[in-house]
Amino acid sequence: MRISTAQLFRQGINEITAQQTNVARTQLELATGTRLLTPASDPAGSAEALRLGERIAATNQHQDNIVFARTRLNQEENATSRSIEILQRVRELAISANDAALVLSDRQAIAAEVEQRLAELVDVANSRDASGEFLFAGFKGRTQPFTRDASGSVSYAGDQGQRVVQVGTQNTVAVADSGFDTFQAIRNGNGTFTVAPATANVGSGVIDPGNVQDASAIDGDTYTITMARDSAASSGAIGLVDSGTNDALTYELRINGTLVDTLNEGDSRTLAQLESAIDAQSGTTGVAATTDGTRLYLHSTTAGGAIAITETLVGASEDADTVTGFFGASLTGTTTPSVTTTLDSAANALLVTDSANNLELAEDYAADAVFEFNGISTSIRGTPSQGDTFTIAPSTNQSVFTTLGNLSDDLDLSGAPLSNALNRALVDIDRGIDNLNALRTEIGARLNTLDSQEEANADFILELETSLSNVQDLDFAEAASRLSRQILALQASQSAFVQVQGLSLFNFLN
Amino acid sequence: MPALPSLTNIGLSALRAAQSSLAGTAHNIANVNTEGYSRQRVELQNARPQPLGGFNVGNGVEVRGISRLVDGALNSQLLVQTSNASHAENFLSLANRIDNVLADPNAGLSPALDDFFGAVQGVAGDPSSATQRQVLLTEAGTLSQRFGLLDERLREIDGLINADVRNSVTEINFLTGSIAELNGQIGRSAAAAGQPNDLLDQRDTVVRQLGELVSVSTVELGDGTLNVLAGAQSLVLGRETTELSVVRGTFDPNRLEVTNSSGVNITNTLRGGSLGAAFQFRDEVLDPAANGLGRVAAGLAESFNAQHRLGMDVNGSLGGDFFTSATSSVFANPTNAGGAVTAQIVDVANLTTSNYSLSADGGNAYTLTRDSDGQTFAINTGGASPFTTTEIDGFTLTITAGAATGDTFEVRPVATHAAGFGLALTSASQIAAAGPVRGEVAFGNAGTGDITGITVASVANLPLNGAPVSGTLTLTFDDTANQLTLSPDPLGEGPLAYDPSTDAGGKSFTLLGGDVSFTISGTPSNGDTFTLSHNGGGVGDNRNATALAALQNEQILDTNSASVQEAYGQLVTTVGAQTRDAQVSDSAFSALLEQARSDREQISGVNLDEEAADLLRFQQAYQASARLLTVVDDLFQTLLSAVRS
Repeated sequence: MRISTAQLFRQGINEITAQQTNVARTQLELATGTRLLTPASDPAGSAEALRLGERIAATNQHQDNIVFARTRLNQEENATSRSIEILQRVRELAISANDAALVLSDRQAIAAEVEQRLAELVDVANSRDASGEFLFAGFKGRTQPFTRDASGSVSYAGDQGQRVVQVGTQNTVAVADSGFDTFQAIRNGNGTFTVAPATANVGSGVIDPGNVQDASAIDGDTYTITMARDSAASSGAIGLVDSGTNDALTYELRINGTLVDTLNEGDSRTLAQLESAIDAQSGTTGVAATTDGTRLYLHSTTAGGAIAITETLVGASEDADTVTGFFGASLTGTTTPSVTTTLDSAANALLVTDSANNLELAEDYAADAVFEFNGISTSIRGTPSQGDTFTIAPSTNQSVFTTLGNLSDDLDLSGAPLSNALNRALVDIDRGIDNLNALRTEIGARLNTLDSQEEANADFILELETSLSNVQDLDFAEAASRLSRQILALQASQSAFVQVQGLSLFNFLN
Repeated sequence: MPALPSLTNIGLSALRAAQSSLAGTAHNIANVNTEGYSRQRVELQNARPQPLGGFNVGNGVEVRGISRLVDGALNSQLLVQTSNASHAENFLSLANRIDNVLADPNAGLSPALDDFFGAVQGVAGDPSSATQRQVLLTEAGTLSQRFGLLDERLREIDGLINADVRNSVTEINFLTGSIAELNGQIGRSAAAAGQPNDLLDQRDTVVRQLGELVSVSTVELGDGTLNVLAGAQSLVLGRETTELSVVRGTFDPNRLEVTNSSGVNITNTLRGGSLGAAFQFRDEVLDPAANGLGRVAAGLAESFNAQHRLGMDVNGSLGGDFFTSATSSVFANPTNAGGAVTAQIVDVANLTTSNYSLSADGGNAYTLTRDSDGQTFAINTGGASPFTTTEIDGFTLTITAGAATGDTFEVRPVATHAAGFGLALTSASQIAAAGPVRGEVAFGNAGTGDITGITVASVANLPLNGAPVSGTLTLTFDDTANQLTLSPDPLGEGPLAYDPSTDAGGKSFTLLGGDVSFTISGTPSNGDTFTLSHNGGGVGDNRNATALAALQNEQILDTNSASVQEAYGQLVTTVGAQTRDAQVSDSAFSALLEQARSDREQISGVNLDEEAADLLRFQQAYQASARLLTVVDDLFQTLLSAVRS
């Protein structure tokens, strides 16, 4: 094969240039530390590197979000804890107020502290975060959520929004809770129902806040507990004994002096008939009757009213004419005998009626004895008067501020109303504490989520960076050894070039 | 026995032959580094013998001619490979430019997108923070600058190609002129003094230089002249040349094209060589890349704007456009009789990175052709003007009548969007981070019903603080009919059936003509109310910001198969792969060129050792010839002395 001199030269130079290109490329790789000098170095790898870079940036943003969320949640947890402390202090105050030894001025002093605590709680509920945003205003971060007007009532100006931030690719965490959920929408009473004495009650009955015995049986109706007396009434044929002359004997029943029923010989009454007869006149007599079919209960329609039952035998002509009244009076003789029984004002029975006045429960009253109906159980202690009533109603939303305001107002009361009010305040406060505790637990859970998510994110970033490094980072050992190989090859080419170029026949022509 | 004078003649002929051979060798040595030189050889032949009696007496040597050692096939091969290698080299150099534009991690789009979406996340985390909002505005500005910068750098490549086209055409005209002139000289010289070896070498060299610019074929005629053609376009016919001119592009005035002396656009016939590479690069790499970038910009702007318009800003107003977006460009052929066409993007998911050609087929018929794969779409306006088509590949065309049969338009749906990507917001407070509607349960509700998951799909009937729907919508539960009644019910959509015994786990509703969806769950009590109202003051609401942030991973492009960043990744991969292909082609074709060059050199190249040997050979022949003359002299003296004595 012929080789031209120019070709020999060109080949040598080409070889050297190619080697130099390789060396320069490896040198650039070593200088930048990446094997992806341009997308053409590895087209798929470049896109992969972009994708990984994007994931890393997004995950780092999630980490930033976690830091922000943690700050917010810590602030919220502080506010929640302080709120709980305040409520616990108020709870202690409520317990201390329930002491018969205290006089009004003592209680007023307690009320003053409750007022202070209430103001403090409003302050806490109006807490702001580092950037001045209200923590408990929902979405209305720049609107002060709670304001206390001149009458002392606290209104909520925020909304029910809850901010959620992205802390992981598939994971979000709520970083706020609205004041509505935190302080406002709290079920009062025991959470399911409330108990309340009528203000007109005259007895010393104090009702227990009660328990839910069977949630499925609770139907959400409002019930009235009426304290009553068991009248010990009997029923059936009236026992008019007409001896000797045939008289027209009648038995008259009066309640508080008003005639409610008249029976002739042979007449009979069921308890239900007696009940309706008494009830028909209750507008006049102020006494209402209720029967469960075996007993007839009487109670004043006004708390503390008297109940006098007068039984009279009319029309007797012989002493042997007798009658035994439904209420136990044994009447005999011709003098129109009459016996009046006055029932004790202390109740010995309780009646539970629903909103349609259907009797749900009738039983003897014993202090602290638990009674149960429609899934509700409660008890009453003290000495309630017949005619006293208590209402059991489904719980409604009541803000903790209202609870505290009510307590402060109620401390002016005394006796059973005070005890009832304090009982009520205690459960309402407990509900507030429960709600805040649940929230604090949830915040704790969210903070835990943040911690574990932060770790997961850190792992993820590490994993992504490892992948990214695999895709784009240079294997320095390999590159360094490649560089020395390439330099060696370049030197060899250069040396070969010089030696080959030195070969010429002209060297030998003299 | 030959006569002495004959011996002198033989000696002289030998001396002349040796001289000629030495001159040939000297010419070869002199041109050892001349590009395109073909070595020459002095061809000797024995001179016509002298008849003498019954014998032919040898009469020395004579120079028959000077031959040029070439192989025509190898020369053609070299021409082809020169074009190929030059094509591959220029294609690679252009591809490297675009590759470098995308390679720079600080100048690329990806980091700007990361920072932008990071800032959106920042606003989602703390929507009422003025700082976070300002950061988002700044990052959005940076992002739009980045789109502009990348687009500008791609357009710079357009400018480079234009300069390349202009220079190449000037050079082509110069080279074809040289070829025509050499044709003339060769024609004259061949007629007068035989084959003009050195002129032929010169012409081959000039043809190869032309081949570097554009792929050419040659036809040698009987008179030694050479016709040169590029595709079907003749460049040199004998002594005549076709003068090429540079004109503005038919559709895009920013792009130069080439016409022949008759004014016919021959851009598409110029293939191969560095000029062909520039044209091919423009169609196959630059346009798809610029369109790919434009599609990313259009996708981001359209989808981000759409979501942003569903949100509410700090002042309680509905969000406006976040980014500005360019209108799609349509170029009309200047020779069109009339008519007008506009394009409008309607669904970014279906956009491609191709350009489209629209041709009027006469009457109401038009054909739209997707340039990337030749897919055609028949359009019939039915006589309406203006007529808007149904969606084609994510855009619609509005055609105003007036085009004559054969009129053409070029549609570039996304070409302008990277440059036109800008920030529409002027103030950080306009960032619509909040949702426009809030849902609440009434404080006095006795039941456990809750309203959650409020989403907004359109704002035609929002934001509830003015026309067309004003105020608070109240849903009241009725436990007898198990339904929610609406008050007011402007669109007659109520009541809504809700049965707590089956729906307590959550039931979704959509109201206000599809604008608002929400979920009611739990067991409401009779008379419990839920309200939907304008989210005034909701500066801490991040629902829309969260939805905006989620767009980062939403696959909104490429028939919903790629997110914005994935689409950009595709662009990088495509360009990277094209560059890599170009690298492979370049090394393959330069190897082939080297091989073709080496093949030619084997025949035509000068080897100095060979010439040194020839030098010795011819020098010795010369010395021997000279000696011959002294021998003749000796013989003559011998004869003279014999006569004298």
